[in-house]
Amino acid sequence: MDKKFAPHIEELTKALENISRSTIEDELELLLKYRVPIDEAKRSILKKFQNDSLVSKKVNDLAIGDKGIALEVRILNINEKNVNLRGDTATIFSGALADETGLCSFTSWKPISLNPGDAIRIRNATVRAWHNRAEVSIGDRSEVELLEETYLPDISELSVTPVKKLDEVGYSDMFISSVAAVIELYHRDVNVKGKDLTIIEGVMADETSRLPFVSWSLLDGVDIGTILRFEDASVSMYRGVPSIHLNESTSVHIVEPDEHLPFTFASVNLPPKPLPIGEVLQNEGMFDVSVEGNIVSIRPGSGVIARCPECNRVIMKNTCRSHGVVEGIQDMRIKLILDDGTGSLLVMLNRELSEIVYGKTLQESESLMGKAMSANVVYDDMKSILTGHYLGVRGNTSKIEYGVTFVAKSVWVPSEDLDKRVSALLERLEGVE
Amino acid sequence: MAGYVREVSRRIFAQEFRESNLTFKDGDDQYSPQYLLTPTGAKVNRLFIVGTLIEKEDIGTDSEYWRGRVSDPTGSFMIYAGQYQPEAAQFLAECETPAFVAIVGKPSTYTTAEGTVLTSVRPESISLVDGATRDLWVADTAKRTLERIKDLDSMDPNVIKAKEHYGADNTQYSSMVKEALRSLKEDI
Repeated sequence: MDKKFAPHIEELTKALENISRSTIEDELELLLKYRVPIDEAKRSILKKFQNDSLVSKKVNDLAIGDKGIALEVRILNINEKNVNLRGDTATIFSGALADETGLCSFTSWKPISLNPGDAIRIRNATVRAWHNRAEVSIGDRSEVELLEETYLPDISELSVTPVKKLDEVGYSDMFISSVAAVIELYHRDVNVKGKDLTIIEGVMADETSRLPFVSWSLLDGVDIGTILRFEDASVSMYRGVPSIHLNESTSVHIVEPDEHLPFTFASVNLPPKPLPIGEVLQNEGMFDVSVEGNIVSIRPGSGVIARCPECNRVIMKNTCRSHGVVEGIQDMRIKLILDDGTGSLLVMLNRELSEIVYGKTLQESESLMGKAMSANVVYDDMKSILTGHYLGVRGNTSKIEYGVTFVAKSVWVPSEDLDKRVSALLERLEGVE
Repeated sequence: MAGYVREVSRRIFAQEFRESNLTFKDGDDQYSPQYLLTPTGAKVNRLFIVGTLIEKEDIGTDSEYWRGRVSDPTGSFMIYAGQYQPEAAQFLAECETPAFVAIVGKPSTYTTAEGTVLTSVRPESISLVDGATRDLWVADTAKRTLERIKDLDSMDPNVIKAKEHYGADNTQYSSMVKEALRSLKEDI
C-alpha cells in the first residue's frame, strides 16, 4: 500500500485496538480502490469496526443483538446435545450461566469441556433471542478461558432463587421468589396436548409494580385480595414484559393478615401514578403503567381502517396478504405520539378509545368519509382536532422493532388543579434563589 | 443497530429560546441530527409550544411563505412556514389572529452579517387549542425549565457545554420562570 497512507493506518489502528493492522489495511485499500475519498473511508472503517471492540457486561445488562461481549461468569449447569445443523449432526452444549447480577441460558456451537461450578471468561460472545429473552451464544469466533481465581460468588450462592420486588424482575430472571397481592383473578379453560385444564390467570402487585401471573393449579383459598408468598416461580418474557408462572415446583403460601408487609391490598390496588415518558422508554416492556403528555403527532394509519375477517390484519382495497380478496370489516384506530418533554412514545388506541378521544363514532366517521368522498378526511380531521392536546393513558408497553409501543386500555384528560401546581412550583423556586 | 428513536419535544420559554445561539451536531455524519443547546442545557431538536398567535404575514415573493409570531408569558417565538411545511402554511393562511395554538416544530437559526444569531421555529404542525391547554403548557414548561436549572450543577456534558458558552449565571432564568408562574396566578 502507498506509503502516504501510513499515518492514516496508524491512526485507525490506535482507535481500533482489537483489530489487526492488516485487516485495517485491506479494508482501507479496498475502499480506496473504489475511489472513496480518504476521510470518508476512514470514517466508514471506524464505524464498521467500532462495534466490534469488546464490551464487558454483567449478565443483567445483556441485550438481544449485543455483539462482541466479554463476560465473567460461572456455569450453573451444562448439557451436551446432538442436533441437526443444516443436514449435519453437530454436538452443541447448552445450559445456564450466572454472575452476581443474574442468570441466563447459553449455547455453545463449538465443543467446550466445562463442568457446573466452573468460573470462565467468555470473550467475543453474541447475544440472541431465545424464548423471548437473551441467551449468550458462543460461536467459532468466541474464546472461553477457565479462570483459576475469580471474585464470583460460589455456585451454591448463585443457584439460590433470588427474592425480588416485582419491578426488579427482568430478562435475567428465570426463577424468582416474592410476596405480592392478587389484584385480579379469573379462571380460564385451556386445552394442553389434548387435555382440558382450568388454569388461573391474573395480576399481582406489590408496592413497586404489578405483573401478570398464571397458575397451573387452582390455588385453593386464593382470591382477589389474597397476599401470596411464593418460592421458585418461573418467569417467562413476552415482548419485554415478564409474567410469573406458578407451577408444581413452586411453593405458594397465603400470608396471614397479621404479618407486617411494606404494602397492603388496599395500598397496591390503586390506579398506577403517571410516570415520566423518558422512564418508560428505558424499559423493555412495562405492565399496567400510565403516562400523561401532549399529542404531538397523529401517525398515518390512524382513522377508519378495514380488517381481514379471518386474521384481523389491516387490509387495503379488500385484499388480505394471506387470505386474498375478502370482505373487510370496518374498524377505527388512532396511532399517536404522546410527548411530555422527557420522551415521546407511540400510543395505540383501539376503536372504543379512539371514539372517546376523537369524539366521533365509527358510523359518524364513515358518513364523514361518504360526504367528503375521501378516505383521508377522517385522518386529517383527527390531526386538526387532536394535535397539541393533553391526554393521559393507562396500559402496557412493549418493545418491538420500531421502538417502544404503548397499547392503551383507558384514556382521560389530565385535570390536575392548575392553581395548586403553580403554587407548588413557586414554592420550589424559592429553594433555587 | 440501535433502533430509531423519535426526538423528544422540549418545553422552552420564548425568552430562553431567543437567547440561545449554540448549535451542534451529534456525530460527524452529514445526516446526524442537529441540536440547539439552550442556556439551561436543554438539547433541542424538536420543541412543543403552546401560545397565542398574535401576528401573521405572507412574506413570500413567488410562493407563499408565512411568518407568524407566537407569544408566551416571557416573549415571543417567530415561526416560518413555506412550501416544505404545507400543513402549517395552510393553517397560517386560513386562521384568524389572535388564537391559542399548539406548535410542534424544529428549531432553526440564522446568523446575520453582524454575527448575531436569530432563532426561529420551523413548524411540523400547528393546531388550535383552548386557553386551558395554554395555561397547562406554561406550568409544564415552568416545571421542565426549573428541573434544568436544578440540574445545572450536574456533570452532564451538555450542561457543562452550556455553562461554558453562556456563563454560569442562571438567575435570569429562575426569575423568568417565576414571572411566568405569577402570570398564571393573575389569570386564575
